[in-house]
Amino acid sequence: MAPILQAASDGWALVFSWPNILYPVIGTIAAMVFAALPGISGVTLMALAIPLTFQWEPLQVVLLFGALTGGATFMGSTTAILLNIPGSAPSAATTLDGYPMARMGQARTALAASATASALGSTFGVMVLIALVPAVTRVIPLMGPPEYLMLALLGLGTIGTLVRGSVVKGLAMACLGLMTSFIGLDPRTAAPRFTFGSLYLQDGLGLVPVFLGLFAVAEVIALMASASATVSGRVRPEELTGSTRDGILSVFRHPGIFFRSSIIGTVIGMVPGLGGTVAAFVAYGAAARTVGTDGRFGQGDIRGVIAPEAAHDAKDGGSLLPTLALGIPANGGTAMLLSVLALHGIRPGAELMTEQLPLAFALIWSLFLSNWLTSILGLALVRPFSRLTIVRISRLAPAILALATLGAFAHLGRAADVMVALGFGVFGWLLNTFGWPRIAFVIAFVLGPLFEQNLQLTMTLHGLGRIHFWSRPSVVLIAGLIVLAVLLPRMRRRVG
Amino acid sequence: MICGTSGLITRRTAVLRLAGVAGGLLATSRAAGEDLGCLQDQTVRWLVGYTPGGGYDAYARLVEPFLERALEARIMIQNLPGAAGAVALRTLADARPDGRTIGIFDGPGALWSVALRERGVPDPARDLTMLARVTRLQQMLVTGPRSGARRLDDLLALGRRRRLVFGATATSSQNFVTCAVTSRIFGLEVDYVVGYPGSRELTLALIRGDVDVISLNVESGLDALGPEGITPLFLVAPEPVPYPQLERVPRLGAPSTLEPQRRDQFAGASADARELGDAIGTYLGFGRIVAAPAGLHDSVRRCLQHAVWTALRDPELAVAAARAQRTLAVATADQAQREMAAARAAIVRILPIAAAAARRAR
Repeated sequence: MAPILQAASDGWALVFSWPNILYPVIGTIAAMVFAALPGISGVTLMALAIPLTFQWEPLQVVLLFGALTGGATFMGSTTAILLNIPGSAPSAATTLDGYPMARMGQARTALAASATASALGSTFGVMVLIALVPAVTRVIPLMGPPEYLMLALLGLGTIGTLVRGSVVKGLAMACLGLMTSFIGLDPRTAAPRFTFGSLYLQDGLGLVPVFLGLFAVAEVIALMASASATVSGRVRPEELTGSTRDGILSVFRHPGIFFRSSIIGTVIGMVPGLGGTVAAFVAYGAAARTVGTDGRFGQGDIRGVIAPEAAHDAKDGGSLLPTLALGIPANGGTAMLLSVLALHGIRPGAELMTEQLPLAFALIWSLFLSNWLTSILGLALVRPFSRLTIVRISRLAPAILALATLGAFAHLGRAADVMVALGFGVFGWLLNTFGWPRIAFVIAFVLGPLFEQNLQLTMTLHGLGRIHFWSRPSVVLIAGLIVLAVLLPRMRRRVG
Repeated sequence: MICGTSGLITRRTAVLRLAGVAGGLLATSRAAGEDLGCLQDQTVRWLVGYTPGGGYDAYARLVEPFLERALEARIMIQNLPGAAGAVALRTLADARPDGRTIGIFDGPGALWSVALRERGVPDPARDLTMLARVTRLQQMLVTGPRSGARRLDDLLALGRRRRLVFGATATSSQNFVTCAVTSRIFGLEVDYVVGYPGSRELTLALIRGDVDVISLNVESGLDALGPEGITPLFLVAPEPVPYPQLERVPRLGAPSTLEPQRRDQFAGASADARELGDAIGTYLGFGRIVAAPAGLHDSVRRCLQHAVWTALRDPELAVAAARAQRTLAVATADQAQREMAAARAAIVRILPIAAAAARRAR
């Protein structure tokens, strides 16, 4: 452990020395500015930055790209809370309670809670990363298709907790979400399914355009149809009731939800391919189960903001584990990071984790600094940001619509994504108007591919005798959690 | 009259000849001028069919500054991911043939899609103009720490004791096709676990011991070698690969490179096995291709081919590629065109084997 701590200290010194500190600071600010546009992620920004770095030293590259990885997350949550525009797919989970809070005039509380949970969640992820670096080669293989399958089931199981009202409507929406997620190429044969001969549909419907439609565009339609003058229903700043202090303290008032979500985020972050969206929704679902249906969960509960934000940022630390130690990127951001490192002659794996460990820690601390910097800047901007909720809808709605459509296009540069966003906007508005639970559709849509792929892989591996499903401790543990999730609400009702 | 007797030419003839020479020189210089600056100061869109950060994107960004210099034009890389590169390929084929849209694409993948008659995928031979080959595709079969195999001989011995389990992404993927063909070459009885979302998940499956063997793209798989006991067994590459860690790994590829000392291992060194080895190497060797839409004006085609070739031969690019551990195996448009024909023939040979393996995998 001592060499690890020494390398961590050396890495810290590399980041927090002049002029090195400029790279993560500039990277963070650039990421925040760019990420204000929905659909533009840290990955896009990294791609744009690559040509600038050809002549740079590896340390400078590591410092900049660490900051770009971490800096883009908070702004996505800001637009999610204020305008119901998920700036990135994981922020969609934050809209579920964040935006209702903004509508109640508590945008400041929600924004402050989001910034605090982000910073602390990222710290948690980084601490776990440092602790697990020596053991990473033993930890990563513990998770395989059976565990991913059980995680997907755990997430799908939360639908029952989150849906209010008609169970039939909830089930119908979950089925529709699953079916929609199956559009695209069959994961085994690559044969097109439900694509109607369209190349666009071969990759399935993208999370970003679907979420921008379901949340932002649907909200624009609802706002235009409503009698309210502003998002919050208030017109003067002094009428806004939330406070930054309450938001910060709320994270400390709910330590259970914070830690549980951070653990979920870190673990899911380590698993290649799962990513922040799954982490955010699984953490949100877990929080919903803890809270139960008695509170305001889903209608403006601060715990519904803390959970996805902590998970989303804790994921960054977890995702660096397989990236640095094994050279296996966990998501698009870390894949880009690997590509850039390779361009500068740095190969992740044994060499980086032994001879160049301080450089690896410089990357980790740069990510850490960037997460804190975005949160601190975010907290400083809570007050002016919250005033967006008192802008007149006649002025705000066209801006939200423009941002949403621009974001849908900017994500991958495809005009068809704009049409998808608009179509799902109308669909989302209809769901809200007629009381069909949107959340059931969203969770099933996010977790559908994870469920399908790992169900098939698990069955094949079990059939070939390569795994024994029930002999895996983590499968039994998650199965126990699922059983608890089903029984706990009933037991509570009985006790109540 | 300038000179006398039979060798005489009239002043008129001399003037005409001089005019002809001058005209020829003018035409040549114009053609050269076209070659050098046909798109000068214009913006050329470079389509990449995959998300930023992948292999194709990395190659495009490596070559971009050198092509800008050669063309004296601005290059704008546009990532158009979708349908395993088919969306960008379709966009490239449908673009106006004015030289201002080019793209990099997976040559073997495109030909495979055409062979399977996938809807909407353009035929490179008909719908595109080859500009150059940037590199060949190379696969390596690797095993993990739990299989117990450390060399090809170990794997063959293991394969005689029990059925091996190979992992792959999808049954139409290059890693599956490579697995299917090589297992036939070595006469191995194999089960397949198909459906891993990508090469990183495949690598983890190998580390966990879910599968015995997987096939990885050589360049993207280099990172995974070593730390977790992932060992390369053999390469499927038509040319030697320049990586020290793969120096001693046996190689299977095109006829000229099939290593004689390994032939005995290929299922009794049968002609069939050798032919299959050649076919898979030829198929993959078509490689990563830079192309433009079909129907380019001759002068623009020559200009683009010349500029791309100049960029790919730039010594600074070689240095940058070596630093990034990216292999350059460049070829002219004509050579790429010939290799495309050879790759088509190779697909005819390996498609039935891959199809039979795919049926078993389901």
